[in-house]
Amino acid sequence: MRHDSDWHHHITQASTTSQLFSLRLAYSQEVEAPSAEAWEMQQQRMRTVHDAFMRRAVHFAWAAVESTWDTNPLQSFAVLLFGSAGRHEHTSWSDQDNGLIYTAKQGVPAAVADAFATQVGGSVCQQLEEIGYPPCEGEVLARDKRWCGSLTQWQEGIRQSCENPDFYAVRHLLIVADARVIYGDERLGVQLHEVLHQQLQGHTEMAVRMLSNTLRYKVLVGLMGNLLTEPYGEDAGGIDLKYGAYLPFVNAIRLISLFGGIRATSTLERIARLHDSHVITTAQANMWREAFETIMRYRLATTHKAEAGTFGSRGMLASTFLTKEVKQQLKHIHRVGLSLQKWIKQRFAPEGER
Amino acid sequence: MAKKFGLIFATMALFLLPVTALAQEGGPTSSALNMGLNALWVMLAFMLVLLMQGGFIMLETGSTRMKNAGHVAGKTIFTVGLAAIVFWAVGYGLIFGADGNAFIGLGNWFFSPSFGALDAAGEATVAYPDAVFFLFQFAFVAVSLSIAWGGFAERAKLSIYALFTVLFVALIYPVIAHWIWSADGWLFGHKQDFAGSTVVHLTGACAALAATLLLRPRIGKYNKDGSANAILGHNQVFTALGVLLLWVGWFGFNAGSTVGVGDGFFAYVAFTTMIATGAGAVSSLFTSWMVSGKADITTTLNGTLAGLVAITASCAYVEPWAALVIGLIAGILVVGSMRMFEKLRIDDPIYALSVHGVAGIWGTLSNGIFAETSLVEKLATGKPGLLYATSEPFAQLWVQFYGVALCGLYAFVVSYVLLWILKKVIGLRVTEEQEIIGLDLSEHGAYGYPEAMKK
Repeated sequence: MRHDSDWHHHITQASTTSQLFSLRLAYSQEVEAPSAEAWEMQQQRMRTVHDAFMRRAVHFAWAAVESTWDTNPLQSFAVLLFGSAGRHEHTSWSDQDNGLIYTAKQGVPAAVADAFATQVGGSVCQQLEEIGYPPCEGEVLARDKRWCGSLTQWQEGIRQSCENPDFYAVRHLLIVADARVIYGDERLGVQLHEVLHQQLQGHTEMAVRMLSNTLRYKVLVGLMGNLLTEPYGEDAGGIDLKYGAYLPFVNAIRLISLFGGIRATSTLERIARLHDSHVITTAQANMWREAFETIMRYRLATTHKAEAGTFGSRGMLASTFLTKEVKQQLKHIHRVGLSLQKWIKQRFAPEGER
Repeated sequence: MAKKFGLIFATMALFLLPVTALAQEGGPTSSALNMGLNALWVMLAFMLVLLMQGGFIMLETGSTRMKNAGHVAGKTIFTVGLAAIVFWAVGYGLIFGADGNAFIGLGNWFFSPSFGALDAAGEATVAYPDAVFFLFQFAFVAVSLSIAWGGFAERAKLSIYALFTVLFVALIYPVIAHWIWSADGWLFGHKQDFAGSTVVHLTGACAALAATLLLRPRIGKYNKDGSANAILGHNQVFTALGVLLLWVGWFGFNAGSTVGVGDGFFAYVAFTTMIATGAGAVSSLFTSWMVSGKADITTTLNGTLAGLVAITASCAYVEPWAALVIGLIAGILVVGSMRMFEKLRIDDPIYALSVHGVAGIWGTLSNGIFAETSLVEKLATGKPGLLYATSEPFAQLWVQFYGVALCGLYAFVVSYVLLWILKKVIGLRVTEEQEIIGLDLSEHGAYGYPEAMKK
């Protein structure tokens, strides 16, 4: 097994996309090999190595576009990661959700800066796809105008979403809440979060809208305390960890953090910061952290596969993984998840709907 | 609207013509009036049961894929037509022919009913005309046949539908119907099956089981590791409307089986039918919700039908509370049964095995538990059930048990052997390519939804 530093070295030394893809293939074989390493370490390694892969791919994308322009029209720019990568929770089989934010150089017409940024955004998605990150099905991608814009446009987008909070606006804000800069100017990411939090402070009614977008989850345990496995398909007999446990926790903790003034994007870090800020009790923090750590541990065991040059997962725990102990743990997680949802409902739902 | 009412009155007047003709000569005799009313009721019941074919068309079409829709619907009409001819030629005689024995009826070939049912003095010679009884009995065999098609769905050749119609109407259904419903049958008077949980539903389901075992699962139903894939029907609204049509038709099926109106008993039979069906709908929805976390529509529809199937045997024998229990249990059983067949890798696209087979068995056995004493005496068949018997509490349950076991065994074994021979001689299943393009195109040359499908 190569050391982390070896991987990082090889990744930063890769000079073509195909070299990078070969490295990714080799890395995926290594992470899929059985390992006695603690899950936290595995997760940590996975995160940093994939950040390195993506950073290198974005660098190729940037260089490819910049070389075709006489001058770079941008003052600053940053490539943002959303979703699990934004939360530092990505795995080897996570897809790509990303965006691009920039400021133009003084005197550069907006259309020119926009054309340049759009090209970079498109190239970023293409590079990432070529090294095996499948595009997000919801099209949260830097190649899309909605997720590629100037700082002013992003600020305006957040403001509009807060003022017209329909389903898509709420979704937009919840995605932005997980944004993390992977390449470029970190300050743009900080400014983005600043705008989001300022706007939310002025629109506390958004909490109710976000709550209704947050409570949905796939029921994992039946009324008789039975674990509800998938009835059909390749995952028959398995458990939908992603929609049954992982995302409900992520969504609930994100909501508390957004209205608790926490800017961290990782779920575990959010829990720690909420505790530090006395938004939640020590008992709550411990209970939620332990449950989420178990989810993250099981998440590494979800089924995944390489298909058509990309790596994907449906977030399912295979039936073979479901030992008696795992089943009991999942039921416990479900109970904790329900109590968490009940708590956020009491905190954020308007009186009469709690 | 006025025209419509005129038409209805004219139709009613036609039915009442013999009575009014007599009235001119001093009025109809009470026996003639009674016979006429019975005839009307059985005729209405026949029409209701025949209309259940509309329910089967919608149920089966909705539960299967678009590419087979025209085939599924059209073959039902064709096979009912063919069944009518076969039943007229031999089927009816094999059930009710007077020259038979305890195993099978003989005689009445190419059945020729009498023109009327009154003697020269205007007195009724029978309780109802034999022609209307024939029609009513035919509607039953047609229902049983359409239940069997559930096991053939989406992969059997059209020629097999035609051949099996002849075999089923001549060699399978009449034997069971003779055993239980013909006065010569060896189970007649002992086994309680008022409207046919065993005769109609279990027989059809056993044929469906034989077919689905020999046909093997549809392409794509099971993965290599044995896990199942959901092959969803293309229209849940069709399926729900199909269930509603069947539900309405079932009042002809059960209440019509009184074949008379004089004592008003048909209303009680309809009443227990309604209660059990409601219970089946409710318990299946809640069971589905409890075991899968979702209130599955298909399961609820199947539970409703299971309630109907289960109460079919016992509708005339049980008290209202027992009807409720029978329906509730049927709705629960159907959920477990659907999952069990899927686990056993038996592809049952329309859930015929669970709805008509398992619920049919439960319905038949339920008589042995819930048959109430005065109703048993009224119908003069068998003994009171376990909860009412003053002596030999298990006697009726035992009759119901061996009756259902032997009937099911006969229907399954004979269906299996006949279909096995057909499989060896001409093959049961369309080719893989035909199955993939759909039976609409492969068997009939045109899609049921031409705009939605591409050739």
